[in-house]
Amino acid sequence: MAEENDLRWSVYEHPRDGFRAISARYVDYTALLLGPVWAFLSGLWLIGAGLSLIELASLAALYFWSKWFLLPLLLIHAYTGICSCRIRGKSLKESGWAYLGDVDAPSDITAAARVKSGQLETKLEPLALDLVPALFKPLSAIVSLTWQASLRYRVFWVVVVMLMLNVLALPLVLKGDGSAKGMVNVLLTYTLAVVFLLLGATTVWLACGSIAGDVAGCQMQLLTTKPIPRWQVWLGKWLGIMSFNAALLFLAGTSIYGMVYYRVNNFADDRLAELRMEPGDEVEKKAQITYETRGVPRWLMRPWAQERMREWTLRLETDLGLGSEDRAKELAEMRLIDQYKAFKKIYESAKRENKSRMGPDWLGDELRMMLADQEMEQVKTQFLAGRASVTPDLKEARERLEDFAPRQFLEDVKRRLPGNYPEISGRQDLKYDEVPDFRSKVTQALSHYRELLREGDADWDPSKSIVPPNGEIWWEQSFALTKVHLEGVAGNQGVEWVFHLPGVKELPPFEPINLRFKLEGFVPSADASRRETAQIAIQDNLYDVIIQFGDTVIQDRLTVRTYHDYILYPSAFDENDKLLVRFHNRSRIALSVPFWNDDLELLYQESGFGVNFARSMAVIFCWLGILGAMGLAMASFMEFSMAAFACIGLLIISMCTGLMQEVVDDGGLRQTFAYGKRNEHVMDTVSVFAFKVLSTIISPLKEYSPITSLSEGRSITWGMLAKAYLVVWGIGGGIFMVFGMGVFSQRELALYGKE
Amino acid sequence: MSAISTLQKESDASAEEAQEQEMVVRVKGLTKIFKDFWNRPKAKAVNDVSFDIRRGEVFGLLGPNGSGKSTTIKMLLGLLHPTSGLAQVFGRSPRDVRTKARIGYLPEESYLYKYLDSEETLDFFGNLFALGSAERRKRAEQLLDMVGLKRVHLRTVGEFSKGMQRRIGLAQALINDPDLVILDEPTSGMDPIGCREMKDLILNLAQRGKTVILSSHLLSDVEDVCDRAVIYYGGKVQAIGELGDLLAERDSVRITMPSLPEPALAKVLDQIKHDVAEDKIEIDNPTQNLESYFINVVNKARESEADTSGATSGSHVAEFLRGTGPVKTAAERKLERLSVSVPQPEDDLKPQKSPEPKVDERKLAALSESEPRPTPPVHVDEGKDSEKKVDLSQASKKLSDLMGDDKKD
Repeated sequence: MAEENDLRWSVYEHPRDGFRAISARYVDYTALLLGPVWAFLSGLWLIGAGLSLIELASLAALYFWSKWFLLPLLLIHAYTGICSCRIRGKSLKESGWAYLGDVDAPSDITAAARVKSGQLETKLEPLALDLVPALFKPLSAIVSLTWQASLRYRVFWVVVVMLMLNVLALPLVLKGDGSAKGMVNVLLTYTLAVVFLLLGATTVWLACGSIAGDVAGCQMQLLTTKPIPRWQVWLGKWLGIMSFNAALLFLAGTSIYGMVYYRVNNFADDRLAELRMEPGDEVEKKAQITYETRGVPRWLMRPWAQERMREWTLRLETDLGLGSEDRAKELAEMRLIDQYKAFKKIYESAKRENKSRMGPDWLGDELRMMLADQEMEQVKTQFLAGRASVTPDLKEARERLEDFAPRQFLEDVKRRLPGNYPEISGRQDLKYDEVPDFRSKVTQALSHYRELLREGDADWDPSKSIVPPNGEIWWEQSFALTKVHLEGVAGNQGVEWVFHLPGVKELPPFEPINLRFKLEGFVPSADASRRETAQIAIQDNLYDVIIQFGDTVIQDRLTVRTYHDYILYPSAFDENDKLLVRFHNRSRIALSVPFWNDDLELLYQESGFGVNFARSMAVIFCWLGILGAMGLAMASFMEFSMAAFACIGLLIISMCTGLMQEVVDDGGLRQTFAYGKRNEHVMDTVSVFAFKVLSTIISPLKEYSPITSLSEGRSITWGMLAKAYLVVWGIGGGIFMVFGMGVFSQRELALYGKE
Repeated sequence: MSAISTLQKESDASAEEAQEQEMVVRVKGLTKIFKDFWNRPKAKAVNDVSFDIRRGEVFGLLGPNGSGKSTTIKMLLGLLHPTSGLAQVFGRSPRDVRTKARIGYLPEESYLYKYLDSEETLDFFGNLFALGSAERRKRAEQLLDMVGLKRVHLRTVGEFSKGMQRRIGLAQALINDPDLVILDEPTSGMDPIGCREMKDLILNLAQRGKTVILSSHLLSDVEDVCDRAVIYYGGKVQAIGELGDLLAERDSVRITMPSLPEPALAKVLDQIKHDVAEDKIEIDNPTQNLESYFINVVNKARESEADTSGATSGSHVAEFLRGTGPVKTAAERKLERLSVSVPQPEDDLKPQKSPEPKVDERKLAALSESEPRPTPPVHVDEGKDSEKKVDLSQASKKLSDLMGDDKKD
């Protein structure tokens, strides 16, 4: 009989070892609080070792990285606490013990004795704890099936090994440009890309195989005779694959995250060692202190670097016997440019005094340290961060565009239009709001000219070459060309941009903000390919420029076709949270900053790297979701090999959206013209329609590239993440899901026998 | 006269309604034409088939290979769509999830996941029926015990022999305690003990009011357990009816008795020769059935405790399948089918709705004793019905006795 102090015991029997009773409490507090200790005490050595490893890793991550690692730690403790009895029971069963039942007794010995004497009270499996509600049991069964399959067929472990190889071995093989920035960039770009490719391929393979394999092996015939709707079978398969992906992505993500921090933390020392191997004049060159400049070097924008420079100045002055008590205060009150001039002056004196090409040795070391620290700071603020961007206020530029573009258009039309049309050629001026009306007049004139050509009332004018079907194309060309012209900055000319960043003054005073722009050699052509070809010739040179924001003037030598970053601080903004940036081209050739393409921006830290990294993982997960849905959709009506082939085909098509858009823009596939007009064919109409639909569906899906954002340190905001899920899962995944579930629900599964 | 006539009509209507409710499977004009990619007809697998199956029946589908048995079953399971005709299970479409919840299906081959062990397999299928964790484990344990796989529950299904796969397949088909069990070639690949167990199990399920559809080309299996059968050929029904009706040879009689001294036998023969020509009389010693002989040999081996790494013989029928009601004979089942209570009308105040004689007793008696049966000790073997009576009354116990596994009793 059960007494008040009795506990519940699960009793097992072994053919050789007799009876054994284990505690059958719902929560085992030893397991809950001290999981590994409980496992070792219970003789579960492997589980104990696994739990110890996980605990140590989670604690280390919690201490060194983020408080978020508390969550998996708590989950593991809760799991061992609640499932301790089941874990022990399963382990006993695997060792040949048979479960007899539960019994109430004050101790395990009494429990076994009671069972021996036939006092078994209940025949329930220990801790029959049902965590899954009945409604979701069928679905959860399908999800667990995917896991069981991938574990038993060792797919999971193979992918884990490949991911680990990618994270640990790939960074050793890849060589960056030697800088910390390059190292982080390469590390993030390549490892994340390989993780995505690896998991993407696994996802498609699993998705195609899980349904097609079950259909071919006839397991699906048995499965679908059970009371689970087929759409739930489909959904269960997808959820199974996605949970598999989530686990692997978590593993890969934490490894990459750890690897990045490990490499970055070791980088400063490595870099310093490298710089110490370099000769002093190289270091001087890198620190830009020997330049004849009008401004200050880029590194001097950092407050800690300014402080160091003042210390060097004082030390050099003391060494030369020029120091004074109030000199430190005096230096601190100087303008930055004057501080820099003072430093350069005493540095030159020191060189003369030492009769050497370089300053004293200690300064060389200090400069090396400054360069290494600067690089580290650059990495931490630019790459190990989630940065949002603001583009300049283009109101004025737009006004100029609307002023110039119509005039450019008018000139172009006059030059290119064949035939005699006085109301076009006689026009002296054209305003922006008159463009639509004028464009339709051009279209009418072109149409009329073509009619004359066809009837033989006019001669073909070879100088006018192709006659477009309407005035639209000429207008677009003029508009684009004007934009390009506005971006150009002629030699020894300057340009100004205004940025508005509301709330900038609320940021910490030394919160770095990056001015980032792409510099290009100016080629006055709207045609992108022609511009790129022309720029190849000038890309290896360095061009002198002056950048000014607030009171700070920086002189620099920049390459074209490259992005350049400058650190500034909230103090550079005026009281209206506006920043005026002046760009002066001191070289002889014209340069341009393509601001219309958002290649000119201010980047400020919106979130930490950890959160940003997690969000980028979430975007990758989103992509894997659509790949899984695609694989399942194809396998819903095809066998494995065909489904895999179809998936590859779809992926290739999805990569060709640029080509599709070109065909849509061109209005057809064919490139032959008659009377200046494209020859039309039914295939043109069909292809334009098909490509328009495909491009409309696929293009938005491709907008979300977490790897590019992360490698540039750009923030992937919660809004962007939500939008990515909405678009990628809502549109792409939704189409595949509805199609796949629908086809699978209607499919006759018993048409063929077992393969 | 009119009142009696009205009551009679209502009584008949109620009986029809009751029969309707008892209808488990209804197949009417069922046709399945397989088509090629271009939708051109390729083969007519099932051609205008009609039959009904009522609750508690063991219904056999007989026919040579490719005659349409499995196609019919697959249409009843919703795995194939009929080209025309009607297939209903429990009054609903076979594809209805509510219908599937009441069906247990053992396919002709093992369609199980090879990487799961037998316990995981049953747990998986139990989950599909949304069974609670405790219930799932309880049933899995009892079923593994029943099919003799308890000792190998940690081996994966892929490692099982064909017979063992049939056994675990049977266990999964019964995990939901189904009202309709569809068994496609259930004894294929099974050893004689397994075959006997399977047949006893089918009879036991039928005793508990379950309906069983058995597809087989092993005629002895069907003969041993089925109440009714349909014989297919070329996708068409060639014969359908009660096995007794189909198999009885009404122009001959077999008498079995203990051996007689020669003079007594000669005397009996002389007596018979008065009415029957000598060349029409056959005299021989009854021989033992090979199945029974085999089981006796294995039982003796088991008594000497020989070890085996394969399946052991199953013990008694799983507890959750046994039910709580009394065991019924075939005749009783037939009676029960016909006399099942008609749902009470909602309005109790209407006396005419209360069906006093729900069924015609005489009609029932006639139906339940459709064939005249001589009585023992000298019994006339008129088919398998009488043998089934013995089996049915002791099926559960017999299983244990036959297999010699008495530790659970």
